[in-house]
Amino acid sequence: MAARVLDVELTQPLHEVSGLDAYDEALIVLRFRGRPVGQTRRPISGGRLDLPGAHAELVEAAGPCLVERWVHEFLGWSDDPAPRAEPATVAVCTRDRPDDVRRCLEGLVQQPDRGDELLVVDNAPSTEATADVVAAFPRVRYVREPRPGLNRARNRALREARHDVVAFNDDDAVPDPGWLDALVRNFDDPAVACVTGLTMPLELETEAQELFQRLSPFGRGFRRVVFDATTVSPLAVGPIGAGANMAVRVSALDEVGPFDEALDAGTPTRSGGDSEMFSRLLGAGLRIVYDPAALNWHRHRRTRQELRQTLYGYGVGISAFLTRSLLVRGEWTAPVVAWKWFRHRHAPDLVRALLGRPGPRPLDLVVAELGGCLAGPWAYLRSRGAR
Amino acid sequence: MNGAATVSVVVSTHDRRRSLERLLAGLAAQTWPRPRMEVVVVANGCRDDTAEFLRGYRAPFELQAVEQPDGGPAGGRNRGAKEAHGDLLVFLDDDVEPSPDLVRAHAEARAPDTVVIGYLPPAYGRDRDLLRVGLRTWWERLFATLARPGHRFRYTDFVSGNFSIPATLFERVGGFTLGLRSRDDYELAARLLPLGTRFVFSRAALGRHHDATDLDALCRRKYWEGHADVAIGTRHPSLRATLELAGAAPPTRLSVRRAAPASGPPTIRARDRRLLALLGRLRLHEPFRRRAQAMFASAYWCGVGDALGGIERLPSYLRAGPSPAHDADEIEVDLREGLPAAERRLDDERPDGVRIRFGDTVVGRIPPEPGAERLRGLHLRAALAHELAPALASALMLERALLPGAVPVPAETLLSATAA
Repeated sequence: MAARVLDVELTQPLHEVSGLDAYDEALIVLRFRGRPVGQTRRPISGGRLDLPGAHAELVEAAGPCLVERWVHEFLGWSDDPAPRAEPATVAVCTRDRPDDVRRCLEGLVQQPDRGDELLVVDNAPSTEATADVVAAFPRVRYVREPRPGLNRARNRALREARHDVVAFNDDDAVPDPGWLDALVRNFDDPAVACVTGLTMPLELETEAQELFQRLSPFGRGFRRVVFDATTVSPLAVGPIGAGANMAVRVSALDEVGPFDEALDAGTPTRSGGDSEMFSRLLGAGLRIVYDPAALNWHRHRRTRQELRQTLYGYGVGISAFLTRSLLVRGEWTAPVVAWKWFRHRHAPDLVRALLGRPGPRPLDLVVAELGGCLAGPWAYLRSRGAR
Repeated sequence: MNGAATVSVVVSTHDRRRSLERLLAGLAAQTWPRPRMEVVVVANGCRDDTAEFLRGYRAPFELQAVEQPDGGPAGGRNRGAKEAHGDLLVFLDDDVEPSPDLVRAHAEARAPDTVVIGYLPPAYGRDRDLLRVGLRTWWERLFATLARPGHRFRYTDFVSGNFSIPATLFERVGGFTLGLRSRDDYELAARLLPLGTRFVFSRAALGRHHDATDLDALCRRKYWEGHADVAIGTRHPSLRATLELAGAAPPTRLSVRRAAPASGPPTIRARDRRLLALLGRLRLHEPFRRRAQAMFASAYWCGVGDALGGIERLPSYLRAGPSPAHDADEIEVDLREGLPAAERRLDDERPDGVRIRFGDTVVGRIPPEPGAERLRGLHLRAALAHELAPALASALMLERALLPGAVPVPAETLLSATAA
């Protein structure tokens, strides 16, 4: 049932991979000169994966993105902005996940050192474990934010940051080499207020992780996209990306306000804090860039119970974000978006699951997310009241 | 070369004394050396206290204040250019607040036969009004397009609130055309492009645009844009096919109020104004945008109809323009001879269009475009990197070209990938 996550560089000779007896399948991230260009799945038989024999299929899976990269190399052309000269602040907001944080920091200190500031915001910790982990990394600054809430931690990071660009990496994610560079170079355009990146799974060992990968993949494709209020409705921010892999310009947040501390993990609303910020930035006429070259790897929740909780949390977060948009910002498209979501996403899934027909979502997960959506508005009000 | 340049900042102003004050304060803070800068302000038929203000103003820089009867923005700017002594003219609208490096950035980007467009984002701050957000997004998209390497400049890309041009080039092209109440910048660009003028964008030449546009002002402006497009098409028949009026049909119903045909700019009906206000208050983005667009389109077509002397004259007006491909100079390049050689040819010959092949295989074409820059090598490379990338990849594979660092992949595989 488990899938092995592999990273394959298409410009290098391919070799057979062995020792994969525990896996039925491989999820292969395809790269061209280090840049992710596509993904594909291949079956594993007898614990081996014949990559050379699958060469043609791998190239086909990478498709148009690969062709474009290849042509650009032939032409000596690049669409990428020049590397950013000014250093940035990288913030990892965390709560009681010392092992994940250690893995994340190990990845972070391997980023090329351009004088960037590395920050861990330890949010309402119950032990000193995280502080101990950070102490082992002299380059990393430790900050404690005692009031629980991911958005509180994010705002604390913004206040503590010495630089105008702050990159956020979730504590359960590991940055790819070159992640930070790819993210922050997109701020050359002064109108860009936020950049998001591609997130792939660190492992797919359990069924729950596989389900999460199939249902709510963080990936938004392998093409760079620029969003503004003309290309996407300010409330339909799904395609933009996620807070697990994003960077913001501090001066832009001075304009639109900080993260809403009633939203996201650690509060009754559980998630939605990133979506709400994307929405606010777009609503102010600013631009957001999605750049898949900024890759990080996320450890999905391992058990079914945790997955249900996560999807419930997404349901609460999205409807809390819509509630906030309506109440605080007077966005009357919010009920329209909520209705469309229900009609085109939840309702068909629910019907399919109830009738026992095959569909992408098992019943318990549909119910979890839907239950979250119903709980969202009240959760937001409670969260605001408790602040 | 930059060391010797003298700059004249030219401002034509009409009844905006406070804006002018803010602009002059920004000019007083420029990092460009004062001995090499002068400012020429033309008070264009001002009925407020602009003239007295200018007379009493103690400028820390060389200032020439000129008064004249209202000559429109074109008349004001032409007069300012005439009175200026500098090698480089920097034109700023009177509602611009220049950043301290604006003049320096224009001076450093200057080159013969080159027009520099500066970055001019609207200064709306925290305003979330849907109209303003829409405008802001429109401006930022324009500048992002101009900033793209290899962008083929079109006369409709030219915005003139913050730009610089060598004084000799401005004189050679004859300055702005009088009598256009809008889009005189488009019309100027239409005359500059055939001279081989290069247009470059400079983000560093930053000015903030304190744009006081509201719904009514936009409606009036769209009317005059309709008028101007007819005038531009009359002067430049080869551009008729590129005008807004050639690309769309007049609306069947007018979303604006007219006292009578040919009576000047239309006004917004009270109920439409209320509806838009409601949509704006509820922040229903899409319905708001559609309604506003309908209004502006109606105003535009009123302008077109008035300028033509009746909208029924549109078909014959459009037919009268010559076929754009008529005098177009299109060359052919073969990439087998190498990309640098092909680029050099384009940089030397500056054709209107180019057909591209790789050996016996056709790769594609950059067609001639009336009102667009004559081609340079960079345009070829940009087109090959974007629209023509799949075709180039196919051609390279078909021609079994040897490519350094190529992916070791069978040709057929990459061909099927390009077909995807």
